Amino acid sequence: MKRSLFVLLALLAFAGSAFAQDFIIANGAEPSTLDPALMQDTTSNQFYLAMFEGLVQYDPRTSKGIPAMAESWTTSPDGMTVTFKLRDAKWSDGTPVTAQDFVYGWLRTLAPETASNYAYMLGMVVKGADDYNAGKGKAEDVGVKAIDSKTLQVQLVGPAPYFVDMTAHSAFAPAPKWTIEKYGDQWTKPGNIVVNGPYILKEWKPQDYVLVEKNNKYWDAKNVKLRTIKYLASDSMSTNYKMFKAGAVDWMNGIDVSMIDEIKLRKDYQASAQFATYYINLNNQRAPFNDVRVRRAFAAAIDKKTLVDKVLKGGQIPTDEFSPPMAGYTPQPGQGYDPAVAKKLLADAGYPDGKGFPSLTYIYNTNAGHKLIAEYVQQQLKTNLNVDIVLQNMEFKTLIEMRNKHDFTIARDGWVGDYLDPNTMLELFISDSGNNSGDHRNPAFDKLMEDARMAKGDARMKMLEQAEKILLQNDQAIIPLYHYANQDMIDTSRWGGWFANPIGYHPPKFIYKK
Amino acid sequence: MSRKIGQAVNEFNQQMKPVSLWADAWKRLRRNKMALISLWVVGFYALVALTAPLFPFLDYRTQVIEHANLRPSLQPAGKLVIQKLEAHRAVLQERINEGMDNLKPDLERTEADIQYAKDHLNDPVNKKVYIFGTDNLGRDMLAKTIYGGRISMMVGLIGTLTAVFVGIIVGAVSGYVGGWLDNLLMRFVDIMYSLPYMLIVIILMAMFRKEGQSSIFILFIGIALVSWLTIARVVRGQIISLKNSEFVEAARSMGASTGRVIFRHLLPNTLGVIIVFTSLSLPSFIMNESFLSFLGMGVSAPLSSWGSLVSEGANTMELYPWQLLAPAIEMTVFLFFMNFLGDGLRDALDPQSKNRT
Repeated sequence: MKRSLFVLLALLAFAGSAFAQDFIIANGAEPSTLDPALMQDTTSNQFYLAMFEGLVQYDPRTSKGIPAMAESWTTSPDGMTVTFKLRDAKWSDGTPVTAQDFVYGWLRTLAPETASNYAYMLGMVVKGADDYNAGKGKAEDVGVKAIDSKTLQVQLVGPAPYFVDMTAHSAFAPAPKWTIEKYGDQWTKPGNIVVNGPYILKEWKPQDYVLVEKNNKYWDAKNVKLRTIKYLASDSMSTNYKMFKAGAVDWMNGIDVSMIDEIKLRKDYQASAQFATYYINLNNQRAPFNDVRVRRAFAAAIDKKTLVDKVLKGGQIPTDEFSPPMAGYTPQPGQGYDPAVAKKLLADAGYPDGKGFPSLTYIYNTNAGHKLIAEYVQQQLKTNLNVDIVLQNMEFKTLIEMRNKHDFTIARDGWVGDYLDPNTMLELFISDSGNNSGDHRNPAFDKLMEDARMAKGDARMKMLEQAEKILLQNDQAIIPLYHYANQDMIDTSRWGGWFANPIGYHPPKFIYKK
Repeated sequence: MSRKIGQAVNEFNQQMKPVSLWADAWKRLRRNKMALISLWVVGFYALVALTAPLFPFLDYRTQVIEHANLRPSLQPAGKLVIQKLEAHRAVLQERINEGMDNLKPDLERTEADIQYAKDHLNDPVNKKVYIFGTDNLGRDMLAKTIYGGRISMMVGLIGTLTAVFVGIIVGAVSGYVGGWLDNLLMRFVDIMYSLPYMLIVIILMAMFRKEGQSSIFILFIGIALVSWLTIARVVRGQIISLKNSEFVEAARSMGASTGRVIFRHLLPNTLGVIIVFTSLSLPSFIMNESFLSFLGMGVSAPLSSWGSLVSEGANTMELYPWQLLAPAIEMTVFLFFMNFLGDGLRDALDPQSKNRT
């Protein structure tokens, strides 16, 4: 007993000194994949930020693109061709990173057999990409070419001003062809994986943690300070928060909502506006939500302001719009809270006072915060519409699967912009977008989004505004609840290189112990 | 008769008034003070659970957001809200003095909330009294724990009843008849045993769950399906050890049918074991349910069970301990007295002590 105590103390002392540059993140859930082409959620995306690097990467302060694998780039005068000059960088097995790796990676994301949910993102901007992804075109016709091993040229469908920022996203990752061909879908397993980012996968204990360690072959390895990073998979915010308080977690992404009154008083609580929206997904093709009046009635029945001000209290902004406002763009809100209108709409749809309305299931991933919101929404619908819904929680991975398959009626959802432009929010609802969980289909909307790709400046913003108007005012495809606030627990007096930013991505490359 | 013969009076030569097993047991139970108290307590729980829907003030679903996280008290809610907000204001003021300027908007909002609460102090809703406090959405913990108790007791009851009925019949028939029937039934039990309980419930959920339907009934079925296995084995063992005893031989030689031998002679002799087992398994059914609820396969909101209330309350026990304590104490008291009652019943129903006082 005494001896084990001694060993424990020695270990603790050891942990205190030698492991100083080890960083522990409470990541909120088990990552659904480590393959950049398949990543879809913010939990998995953390590993993209740690292990891979695209042409550009997110600036830790502004979320804009800064040079990464690309040293520099030039845009043709018409804005339709972008040429990237790659720097001398190596994969973790020593192979140089070439323009061909990017071509392979992008085509892999686009290949129909990969079934990437983000393929549409490439499809939106890169010439010929959409056709290839839909199986109508050939891979050779996709507008991404390796001029030589260090020069990558991209042909765009229109002068998309956000294109370079976009390439920080995981869908634009380079991929190590030789490894993927050798191991197939096992290539992201520890030992198999080959990366070009600052960290490499060391260990993955399912439902427990993922451990990455510094990649010494990384081009900027001398500026990478953390030795290892451990991502805990626990989805219990309450446990995570207790661990954070005890010093066993260094950064907690998200907070324990039930403890907000205490958390707000802490100096290591970081809150800032985020370019993201929390919303309720309705299955637009399934009764009763195939009737726009029912969708609108639901939107009118939920008091978002009380939810944010009295329940969540975390600096979120209640909203009826989907894209957060930004310079040059005025969001177009959908139906706001109005119980009288809600009742009338539901009656018009054939369910006066909720009579005859089917009982529906609302699905959400296990998390105290989502549960709180679900229960609030449930009661709002009962009070204002006399409609009963049943709540069902599940693992995050299952929820994503069900949403992707449109196998739900009502589902909790949230979307964080991938770059700072309304386009990243609105493009979700294009008919064939992989992230169009609610199965919204409106040709007029699709047309506007497509036209916006070709347009520039103010005209483009006007088209996007028009598209949002269709999405929310005509169709009410979803029910936005609020714009997220970044809520993180990290002691910035101990850890440097971590900044509040609009997208809420914090590349671990920059994080260091003060 | 004994006097005539002139022998001493002993327990083998008296005329006895025939007393049924149950009347006898009841007589003995009444003598056991602890068991009697337990009976009253459990009876009270059952009464409250049964009559809860008759009391409109026991409303477990209405959310009064302003009343979130109020402590248990006999004071009206309006006053408590003001007290709570003022305490919060003091803390905020202190932190702002320490230099946390980012809290200033919160201070302003709190000031406004205090003003609002003072203006609306006499609204009927603010006259409410929450003796068990409220939860994070301003729902009455008293109502929630009572309705939670309904679900938990229901789960315990259904599990126990199926265990007793199915388990006893299968075990007794299997043990007494023996042979191929015994083999067949026990192999079936083995198969059911080898399937993980969680797996059965998950499969049932996947098979029978429908859109917009609460999963509580599937949960009941899942619990009922596996609850009787252990008791069937225990009863079978008991029956086998008893079936060649003299009293069974006597009954058989007098021409008693198989059914009569099993139900009138053998089973009463195994009651002790059955009752001990039942009183031990009742809490485990309640615990099982809470685990399933935690995984999202049991009761879903706004309904809750003791188990789900406790697991939620544990998250916030540092700030709002009553959200854990109210259901935890209620549940503990119930299980505690349930065990005492089981103990008392075992003593009372033991046929070995028939006619003894």
